[in-house]
Parts: sequence; structure tokens; C-alpha cells
Amino acid sequence: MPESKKFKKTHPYSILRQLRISVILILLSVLQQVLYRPQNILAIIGSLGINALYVTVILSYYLSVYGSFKYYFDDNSLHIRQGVLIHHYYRISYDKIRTIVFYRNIVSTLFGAERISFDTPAGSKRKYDLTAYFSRRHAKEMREGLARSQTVLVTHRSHTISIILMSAFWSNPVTGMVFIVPVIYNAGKILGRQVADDMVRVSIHSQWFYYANFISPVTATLAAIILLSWAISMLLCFLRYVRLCTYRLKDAIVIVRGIISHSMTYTKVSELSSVNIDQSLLMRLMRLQSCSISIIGSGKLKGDKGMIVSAERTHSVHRKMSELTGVDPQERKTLLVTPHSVFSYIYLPLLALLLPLGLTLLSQWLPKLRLTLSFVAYVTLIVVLWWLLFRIFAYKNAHIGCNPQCLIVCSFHRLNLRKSYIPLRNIQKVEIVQSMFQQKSGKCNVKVYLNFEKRAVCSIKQLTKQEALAFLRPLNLVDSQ
Amino acid sequence: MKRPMETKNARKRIQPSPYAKAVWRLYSVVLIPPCMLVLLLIGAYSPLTAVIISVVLLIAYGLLLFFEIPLYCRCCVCEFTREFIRLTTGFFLRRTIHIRYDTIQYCVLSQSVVQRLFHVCSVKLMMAGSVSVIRQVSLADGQQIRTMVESKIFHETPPKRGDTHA
Repeated sequence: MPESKKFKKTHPYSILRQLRISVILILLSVLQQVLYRPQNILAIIGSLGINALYVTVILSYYLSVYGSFKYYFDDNSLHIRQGVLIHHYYRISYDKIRTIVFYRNIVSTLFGAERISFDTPAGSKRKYDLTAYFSRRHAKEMREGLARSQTVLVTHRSHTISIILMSAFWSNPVTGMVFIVPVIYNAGKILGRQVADDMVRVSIHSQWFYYANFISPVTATLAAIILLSWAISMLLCFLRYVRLCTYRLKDAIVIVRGIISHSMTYTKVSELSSVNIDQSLLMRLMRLQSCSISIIGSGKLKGDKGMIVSAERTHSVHRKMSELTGVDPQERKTLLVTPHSVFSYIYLPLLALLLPLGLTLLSQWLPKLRLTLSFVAYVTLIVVLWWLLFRIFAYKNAHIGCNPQCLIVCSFHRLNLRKSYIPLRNIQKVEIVQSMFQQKSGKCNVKVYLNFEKRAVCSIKQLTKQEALAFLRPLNLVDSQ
Repeated sequence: MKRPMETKNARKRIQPSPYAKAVWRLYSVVLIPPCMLVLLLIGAYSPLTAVIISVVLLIAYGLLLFFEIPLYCRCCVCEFTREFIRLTTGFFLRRTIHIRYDTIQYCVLSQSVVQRLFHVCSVKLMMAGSVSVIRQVSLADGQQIRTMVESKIFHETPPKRGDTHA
């Protein structure tokens, strides 16, 4: 059979998906027809005009793109041919494919299509190295092919309650704003009352009184918008992660999740960049932890795409992590950060303490705004103290450890306490950074670079340089001399 | 003048070319136009502020040319051992990077127009997700680094990491 005849086309849904934006234009022109009510055929053509031309050009472009994208699978590799004017021919060996993601939502399911994305370590620019829509029958065959001759060793299903908690708090990007809602609402109310009562009464401009009446309703509306966006974000997050289920096959991990949009991620265990145990301060207070994996492909996506255990008790998370990924959670050797280096962890929150102090001083100078400024100062103080507490927790936990399999870095990432298990064979490089002060005191920060498609680092502050080098040398991560 | 490459105990040590400082100084010229533009904008509203800022900028530029660039070039060292490449850079913030040969995917030797004038080049060591650059080494050294790294990547099988755990 000639090679050109082996190539097959992808599912026609690929074109429909690309035409999403154009559909809005068509709808706009229809709306125009309804509102404008053209009297003759010339007016109708004129009102459709540019939109129709645009849609025709776009449609022909996507048709040609769809026509030129072809693929076939052989025993060793995936062959792809694409490009309208410039032809590209790809051949990706199955060994090089690290992650495969199967994804479908309601619309694609209605059309009988499923998106399959392939990721290799090479593609750092695009979201996926290769993405195409295939028929669901074909996708099912591919899924079965991947799982063939591999029995499921371990299965873990996350509880719906933990997913609800996760969607409400730590995975919700609007959570931080929700805590500010009472501040905005109350500050607006106090400010509105103060401006109306005290400041405007003595002002000669009467319209100021009119504007002052709007302050409280505006802040109340703002607070309502934030609350609404939090609720929407929570719902979306819940729908995305609900029914999270992780399967451990012989040499692969499969993560399945989602109810309206369903996704299945397949990755090889040997290619894990790191296994992370995350804990926000709120989770720490509830004694919960979550576990995720960093894999090639997951770094370019938003949210907790590599999550394998949503939120569970510490001992349970460690056991499940060990069962699912095969990583040994025990630390054989440990190196703690230097004592009395807590200041380098808390200097930012300490600096931030100047903000409530400044607000309090300002309230002394501006007696008419005292109530508002004092309220904001108290709230800021609470937030900064929360941050300070988090950094102290981070300092108390910070250390590096190791076992024969992996290097363990226990540090913090943004507002999460993170423990990363990094397989020794997948560490790219180790960087030792010393500021001028650290050069004097003999301390250093250590950065460990992961095997990822974009810059990913696990770093830990304030280790003694000599001790750090002595710790890393037996692991063959730094030069022996 | 000290030869940039030394060999001692099977350890190769490479320092930036003697022309590195000249190249960095020429590169620093690109800082002048945006500063001029900002000063002109400030000067339109407050000439005295513009004069003060320009004096401060001149001092800072002088420090950059005659203090920071020579210091930076003196601190840059690249050492090659049997298993590792060790890059040391920076004076105020000193970084020591340990790279194993088996993690390097490929290496790129690049030369800008200014670098071509001085027979200087930069060598990029490409890894999965990150890149380390050996800057402003002489072209001969750059080619030697490239040959050495490629010979290590393609012809030698390094020992597995983690086997030597104590």
C-alpha cells in the first residue's frame, strides 16, 4: 500500500470548533436583519456585507486546513502531514510521547468527536505538541490499546466533599477576593457615611453630596460581583474536577475527571518530573493535603491539572501517593535550613506590617477619614499576620531530604507549603545561589531544575553551603571537587 | 595576558574572552536611547528633576562600564570535569550551576554581529525546560566547548544517577 494512501483525515468537528467566532458574526448579521428590517434585496446584501465575506474567507481557510491535516499510526510511530502552503511532515516515535490527553465536552460528544493531545518534551511553545479531533470510536480503540496488557494495580477515587472544599477555597482563583468582600463592603459603607456626613457638609460644592450617596451602593455592587464570580468559579472548578479518579497501571498513571467536560490523562510513571504534596494554610488548619504530579504537558495548562489525590489526611495522602506513583515517601537523610535564618523567610511580611502602621498614622492626620482608615488598617493587619504565620510555618518545615529514589524538597510555593519528590534521574541541574550577605555567612539558596517543558524549579532558602554540597555530592547532583 | 583556558587535574577551566568587556560595553549602548527619551519627557515638565536624574544616570552608567562589567567578566568561570559542567557567574548574586552531561539535549553556538567583530561567541546548553548560557567566550573556546559537549552527549554513556547513594 503506498504511504500516501495510509493517511486518514481527522473528525470534521475540527472545522466546527474553529468556526466558533465566526458563528457570532453570523448571529450578529441575523440580528442586524431583525432590527434594521431592510426593504429590498440590495439592503439585505449590504447589511450582511462584510460579515458574510469574512465568514466565507474563514470557512474556506479552515476547510483547506482540515483537508491538509492527515495522520496514520504504524507500529512504532505517529505520522502527521499538515500545512496548506508549506507542508509539514511529522513522525513522532511512541517512546518520545510522554503524555496523552483525551478530552470531550457536551458539544463534541454530540458530534461524536473527542480531542486527543500528544505531548513530548520538545514542544515548549504550544499548549500541546499535537492536538486533533478523532471519532469517539477511534479514541476508544486508542484508549483500549494503551491499557491493553496492563492490569489496573491501584485505583483511587476522590470524595465529592473534598472536591467541593477544593473548588470553594484553595483551587478557586477568586477565593482571595472573597475574603476582601466584607472589607470592601464595610469600608464603602463607612466611607460613604463619613463623606456624606462630615466632609460634604462643610464643602461649598453641593454636587459632592450627590456623588457621596453613590459610594455605598457602588461598593455593595462590587462586593456582589465578586461573590457571584466566586460562585461561578467554584461551580466551574467543581464540574472540572468532580469524579476525580486515578488508576495505576503497570507502568503508567491514568487520571480521569470531569462531569460535563470529561478528560483522561495518560502518562508514564518513569517520566514523572516530580510528585508534589501541597498544603495551603487553610488546609493545614483542617489537617488536609493534596497530591499532584508534574508531567510533561501539565506545566502549560491552568489549574491543578496533574492532581491525583484531592484533599485528604496526611497519612492517607502519603500512602496513596506511594501506591499510585511508586515514590518512596520515607526520608533517609535530611538537611535542615540553618537555625536563626527565620528572618530571611519573614522579612517580606515584616515589611508589609508597615502598611497597617502607615494607615494608622494616616488616620491620625486625616481625622475625618479615621473610621474608614482604621477599619482598613485592622483588616490589613489580619492579612499580614496570616502571611507572617504562613512564612513561619514554611520556615519550620523547610528542609531537603533524600532516599535512593528521589530528592525531597520541602519548601513553599506562593501561598502553599509544598513537598516535592523529584526522581533523581529526572533532575536537570542544580543551582546554588549566594547573595553578598550569604557569601559572608556561608549560606546559600539551592534551586533544583525539573525535567519539564518550561522552566520549573524547586528551591529552598538558607542552607549552609558546605552542608548542602556534602548532601548533594553522594547523590551525584553536584561536582565532587 | 592570561590564557583563558587552563587544564589542571583533567579539569578544563574557561573564562570569558579578553574582548568580553568590550562586547558588554557595546551592548550597554542600547540603554542610552530609552533613558534619553525618559529624560526628555521628564525635562518637558521639570527641567531641574531631569538634570538631577541625568547626573545620577551618568554616574550609574560610569559604574556599569568601569566597575560592574569588569567585575562580572572576572567572576564568570566555566569548568568541565568528567561528569559535570560547572558554571559560576555573578558578583553581587553568585550562582554556581552544576549540569550533568546526560541532561543536555543539545548545544548551540551563537554569534551576534558585535560578537563576530571580536571573534567572540555564546554557547547555549539546552536542557528540558531550561537553558544555561556560557557568554562571551572566544570563538575557539566556544567551538571546543561544543565539540566536547557533543562528544560527551553522543558517544559516551554516563553512569546512572542515584547509584552512588551513600
